[in-house]
Amino acid sequence: MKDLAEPRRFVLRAPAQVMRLRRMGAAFPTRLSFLPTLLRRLHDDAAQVTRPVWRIDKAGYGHAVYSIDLGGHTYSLVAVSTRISDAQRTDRVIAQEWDSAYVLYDGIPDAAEIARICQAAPKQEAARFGERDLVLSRANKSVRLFTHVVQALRAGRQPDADRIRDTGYLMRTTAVYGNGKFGIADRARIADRPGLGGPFMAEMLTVWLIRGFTHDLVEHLGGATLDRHLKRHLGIGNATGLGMAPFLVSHPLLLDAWMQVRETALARVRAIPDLTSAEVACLRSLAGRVTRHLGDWRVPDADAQAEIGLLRREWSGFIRHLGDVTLQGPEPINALWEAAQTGSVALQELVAAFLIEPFGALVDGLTECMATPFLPRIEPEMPVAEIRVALMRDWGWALAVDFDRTDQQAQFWYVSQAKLEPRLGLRHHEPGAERESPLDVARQVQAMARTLEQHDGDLIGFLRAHPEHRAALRRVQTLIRHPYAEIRDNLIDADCRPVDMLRCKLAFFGAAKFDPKSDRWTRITLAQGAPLADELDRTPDWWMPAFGTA
Amino acid sequence: MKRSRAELAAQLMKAARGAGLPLGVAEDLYAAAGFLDPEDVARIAADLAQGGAELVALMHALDAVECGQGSSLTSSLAPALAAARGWRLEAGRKAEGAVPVLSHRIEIPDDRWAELDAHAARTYVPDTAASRAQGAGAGQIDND
Repeated sequence: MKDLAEPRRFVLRAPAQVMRLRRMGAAFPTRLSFLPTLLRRLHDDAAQVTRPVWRIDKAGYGHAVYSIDLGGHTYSLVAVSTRISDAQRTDRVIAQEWDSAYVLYDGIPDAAEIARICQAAPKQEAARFGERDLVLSRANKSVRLFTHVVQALRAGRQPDADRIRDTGYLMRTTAVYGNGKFGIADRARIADRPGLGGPFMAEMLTVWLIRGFTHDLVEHLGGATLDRHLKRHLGIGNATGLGMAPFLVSHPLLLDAWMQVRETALARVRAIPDLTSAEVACLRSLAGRVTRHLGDWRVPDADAQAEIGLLRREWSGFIRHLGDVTLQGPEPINALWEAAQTGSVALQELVAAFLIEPFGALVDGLTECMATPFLPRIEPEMPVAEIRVALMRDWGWALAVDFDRTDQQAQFWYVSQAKLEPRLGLRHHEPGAERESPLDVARQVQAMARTLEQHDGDLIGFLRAHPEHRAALRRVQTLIRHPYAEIRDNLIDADCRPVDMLRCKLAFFGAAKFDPKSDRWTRITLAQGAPLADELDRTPDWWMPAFGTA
Repeated sequence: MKRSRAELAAQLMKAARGAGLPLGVAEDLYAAAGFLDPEDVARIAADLAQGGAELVALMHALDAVECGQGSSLTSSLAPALAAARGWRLEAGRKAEGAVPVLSHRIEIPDDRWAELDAHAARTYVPDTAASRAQGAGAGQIDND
């Protein structure tokens, strides 16, 4: 961390409050999220994007290469655009074809490497990749908007601004694979590199470059240039399903690191003793942008839209505090924070992100703590009494679940044989529960705790007698030192909504405009309002962008 | 075929689960992927084929060593599994000092990978029309 001394801060919010699924499912991106962090780095490095190869035909098919220097290394995005039939266009893992495929390459690929990638990338999971391939991705067109934009440009006019505002992207990525998948490079290859050391930085660089390719593609097909403010508002979409959810369970130390960073940032800004007039002006200006962003955020799902409507009303009530005496007293940021506590969970999480945003100098250094090379370890020498104390202190939410009730273990997570697509089933109505994925953490820990109650001896003896509880014991030990490492809800309960897990992770990526399609599937927008490739010299300022103003 | 370390980790975890080993032991194998050589993987595959008793016993033996208890550790896998715990195994005892993770790819014969695949496949649920339609929570065509 850059900070030499820990700035004054409040006590962090309690994990028992922060790590509840419904609150995680109300998360908003912050300036500490991965994509904003990357774009600040690109700005600081005065990075330049070039397009050394553009071999796209009149119909929009072919390949292109984009290169960028970052931290003393050159990275290249190889983009491959392919014709597919409408019947093949699905955002799900079971897809076999995509409108476009991508590889982020370590260096500048020569002709042979470009040819190899052009052959392999469209096959995605069915192909093998090499050590210089850092990220593998694919994206499908948002067909209606893509077609509209091309047609408008061909007709010599700009596309309809309302349609750009409502969709917000030309293509949706449907997977962004990093860290060794299908033979691509292990994360270890880039973990120590400047600019790519943070979590998902290579993936974020990939999607930001893909966004630029989608802009170039419609301009190529339309034979005209998009207005800059329209182009800036075209981010890159993403469709995300259950595949993303288990990550938060299987990477507890990363989850803890991300949450610790965000919560520390909030605790620091709450302790700011007073505000300069410039800071007050910044907060007021930012509040107006949030109002417009919320106004732009429209989704088809009626329940989700109703929640957005409630948030708009609450926000409009909250920002009155920016004009009253609240900012004139001591610790004005904390006063604003306290004022939000009477609102919904969604308002509280939005206000947390809002209050962090203007204070980069105070919080940005924390992002260097977001990655960890460690994995949870078993500690066999730990006294059993310490485990029992930890169970009572940290796991009451799991121990209280009645797993004899069918609703409290109604669902089971599994991996389908069909292209290994992650799915969720109903335990009492569908086959396959005997092969469920181990996301039943609460049930595992409760079973371990009950067995431990009967154990008379040390932990080594317990582990030897009950190897089936080794994983649960490790989770309990991990949570002692990493208090934000665990989602404190029963993930097999009938009421568990995986989309809450997706939103939490996506918010850490920097995603916004959450557009849930079901309780286990969502679309989002990334990089909307973010600098374009030729705007990296501008200081990034695009959190919660509003149409036409970012 | 050469495999990435992340591929090996995921494969060992799934194979161990599929072979019926405790989840915690599967997680230990996942963590060890960065310290294994091809012979180690062959030994793991052979033990999984026999039910995984050696692997489970090895984890228990390493637990004992970590607590300063003597334990006979004759398995050639022991140093790698100790390294995954963040320490070195020297003369059957725990020695401080992390072992560097091996970041280079690892050559795994295809038939051995297939053996592991066969175990891993026991963690997959057969596809049905109902699960295909409803399990992912999404439709099957996205032309909007």
